[in-house]
Amino acid sequence: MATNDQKLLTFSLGEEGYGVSILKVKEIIGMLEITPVPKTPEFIKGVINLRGKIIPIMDLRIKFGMEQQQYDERTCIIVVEIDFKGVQKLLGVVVDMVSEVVTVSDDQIEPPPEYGKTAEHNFILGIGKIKERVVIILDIEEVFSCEEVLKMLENNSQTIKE
Amino acid sequence: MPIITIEKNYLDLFSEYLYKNMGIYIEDSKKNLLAQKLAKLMQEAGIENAGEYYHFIVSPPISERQKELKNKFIDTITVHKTNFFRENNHFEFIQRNISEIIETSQSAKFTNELRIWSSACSTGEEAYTLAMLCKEILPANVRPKILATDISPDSIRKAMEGIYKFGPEDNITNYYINKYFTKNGTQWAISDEIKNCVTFRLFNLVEPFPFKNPFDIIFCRNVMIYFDKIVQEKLVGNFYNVLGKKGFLFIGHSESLIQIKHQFTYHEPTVYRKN
Amino acid sequence: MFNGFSKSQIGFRIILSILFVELISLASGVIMGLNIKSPTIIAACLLTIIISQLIAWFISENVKKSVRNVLSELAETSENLGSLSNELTVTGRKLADGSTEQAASIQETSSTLEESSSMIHQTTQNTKEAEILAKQTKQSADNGNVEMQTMLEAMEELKKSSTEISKIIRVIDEIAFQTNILSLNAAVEAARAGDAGKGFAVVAEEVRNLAQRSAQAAKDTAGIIESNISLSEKCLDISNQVSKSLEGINNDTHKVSELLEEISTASQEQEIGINQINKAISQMEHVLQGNALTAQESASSAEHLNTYSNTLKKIKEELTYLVDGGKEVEKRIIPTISREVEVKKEIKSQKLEVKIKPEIKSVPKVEEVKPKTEVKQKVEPIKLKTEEIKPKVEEVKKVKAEEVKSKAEEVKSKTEEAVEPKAEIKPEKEETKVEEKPKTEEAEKPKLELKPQIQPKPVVKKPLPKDTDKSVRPEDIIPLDDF
Repeated sequence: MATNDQKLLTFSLGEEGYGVSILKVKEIIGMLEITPVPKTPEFIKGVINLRGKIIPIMDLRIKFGMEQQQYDERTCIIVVEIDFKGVQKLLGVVVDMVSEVVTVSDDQIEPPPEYGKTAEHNFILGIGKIKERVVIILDIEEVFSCEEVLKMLENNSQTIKE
Repeated sequence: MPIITIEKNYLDLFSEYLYKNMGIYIEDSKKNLLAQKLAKLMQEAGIENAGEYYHFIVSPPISERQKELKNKFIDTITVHKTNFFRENNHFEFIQRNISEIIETSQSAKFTNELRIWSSACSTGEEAYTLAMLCKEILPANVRPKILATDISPDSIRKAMEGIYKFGPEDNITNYYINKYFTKNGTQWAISDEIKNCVTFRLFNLVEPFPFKNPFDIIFCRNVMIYFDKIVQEKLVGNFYNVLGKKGFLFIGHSESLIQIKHQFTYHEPTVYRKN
Repeated sequence: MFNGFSKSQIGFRIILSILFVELISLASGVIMGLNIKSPTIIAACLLTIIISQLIAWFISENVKKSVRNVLSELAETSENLGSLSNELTVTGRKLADGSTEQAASIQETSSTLEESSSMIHQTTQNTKEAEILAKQTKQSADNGNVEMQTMLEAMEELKKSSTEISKIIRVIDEIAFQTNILSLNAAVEAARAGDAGKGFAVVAEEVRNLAQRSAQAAKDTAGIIESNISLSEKCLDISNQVSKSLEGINNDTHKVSELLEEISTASQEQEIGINQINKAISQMEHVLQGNALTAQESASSAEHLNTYSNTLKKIKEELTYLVDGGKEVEKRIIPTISREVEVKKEIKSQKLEVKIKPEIKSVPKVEEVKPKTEVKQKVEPIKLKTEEIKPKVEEVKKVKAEEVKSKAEEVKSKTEEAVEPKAEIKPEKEETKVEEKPKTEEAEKPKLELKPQIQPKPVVKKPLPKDTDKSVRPEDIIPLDDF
């Protein structure tokens, strides 16, 4: 507790574990029916209606260039809050499975490898070592800071009303 | 002169004597026949009283006459049906399998002898048949050594004389007659060559077997039909013990070891083999 | 033969008439010698005596001739009797040997059949047992089939309920998953609440643990149920196969049962057949044993007959000596003959009493018996003949003796008596001759050596077995050590 502790929500894509700051997570839901939206990139699966809010859904596997997989009962959508031009917007991220909420200290986190610090790869905040496992800690805002997502958010995503 | 009658109790005594001393089992239905034979024997002996005759036969012989009459008794009571090449398929079997018999014979290997026992040889036809067969089929380096035994001294005596008449029931071919016999009036005498292969001995099959070396082949045909199961079992067990490994036992064509306990392996009908 | 007899009869009559003439001449001589004492008469008397002596000599020569004739007849008869009895001995021996051999053969056959019979009986018993077992097997297969059906149903039920359990487990798993997500959301909320949410975060964590354990348990259970289902499916398959196999067993045992029934029937029939054969064989066995015995008896009877024929020969020799030598020997001969006849009678009665004869009557179908009985019957006339010859011979001897003594009175009475048996002898002799013929033919066949007994005294018992070769005594010489 001496250093700065933070809480991460961990999830997995295939064999790899990923983490995202719990403060960015709004809620976790099971798979819902996704309404596809035409003329969007492949990784944008469409939109859902969550209790009256329209939320765009991204498939992280596709985004990360991994092999696509049939959604099953373990597939979850992590609804995250993204700061978009000062406005908090909701975004659904499809992952294979959510694991747990863990508390990590700074000394458990190593910086991302230097060679990966290209424009494409600066979404990795660091590499966390949790109970013998390695968790890639993502900057979820950075993951989706691309033209198409921004456009999508501008048009379809609902602004969170505080 | 009174009719010779044998009282029931003496008939039973004689039956018991025959069973205990020779293993011959006489069932009640056959006792009449025994009585007939005894009447004949008694008449020949000039003895009218069955009790007297019984004691005469049962007690150890002290006189020459008693010995003669006892021999006559055994000779009459036992059956001496035999012929040359009787139940020929046994001899054919030996002929077919001779190489294997020699191969498995220990005595053929170590002493160059094929040891055969004709265990109830009667007047010798079976033993001489075996000797002639051996002369025909054995390789030059193997000699036949044939033991022939019978319980009847009179039969053994005739066997040792080796003089025969051939009747229609004799299965012997002219080939064998011409080769191994010489004519003697109306009769035929077996040649010394064959005689020398066979050793005749007086032997009672119910007595312990005194043999030193194992046999390769034992013939005991149409003997066990006169014995009961107990005696048969004991006899077959004794045969097993005096046979060499893989030795053969030949029994009569109506006989079978089915109904008794034994260690033999069934080879084909009436042919059994030691393991 | 007939001619010979009539000649001897004429001879007797001549003797009688001459003796009568002699008597008269003697008597007249005596009368003349007593009453008329003249030399002429004495000379005439002497002449008469001489003539009568001459006549007497002539007559005695005639008598001798007649007796010689009788003697030659006797010789011929005894010779025939001898050869006949030899033939009879041979026939009897052969018959005895044949019967003994046949009896042995039959006895062995009988024992062989008994063995077969007992084996067939065993087969029958075994088949019956097998039949029962086959029926039991069929019943068991039937029962098995029914039980299998019940089991199949139970299996089906088991499978259904397993599937139900599987569904429930899935629901449980679903709930566990939802609970897990809820707990994660709670954790998210707690984190957002900052320090205030810390306690709640712990609760959320516990809930999540429970949810995960539920999920794990559900997963394990699901695995077990899954394998249960696949096992029960396998069981169903196997049970179906077993059911089919049982069906097959059922059909096969039915066939086996039918076959066994056939075998059982067949072997029962065989058993009955064999038993009948056995009965017949044992009857034959008895008859043959009897035959052997009877044949042996007729052989020994024939031997005795031989003895008598030898005795006859001897009588003839002695008679010849009497006729030619003229010495008295009857005292020696007659007792011998009569003793022999007595012995013979004894033997006869003994023979007739031996119990085999009625047995032959009881089983007349056996052919071999016949020659034996014939032989026996033929022995009778021969015996009669010899008995008849005896008195005749005695008479002849007496006549001779008396003639020598010239005792007219006795001779007369004796000759009167002697006429009687003569009349009997004549047909008797004819009969015997006729009877001899078939016997001789029958006796041609045997080739066996025979040992006729030549001793005058008949031997009733045979003390030793006939073919005892003293040179070979296996029981004395050889122990079994060399084997």
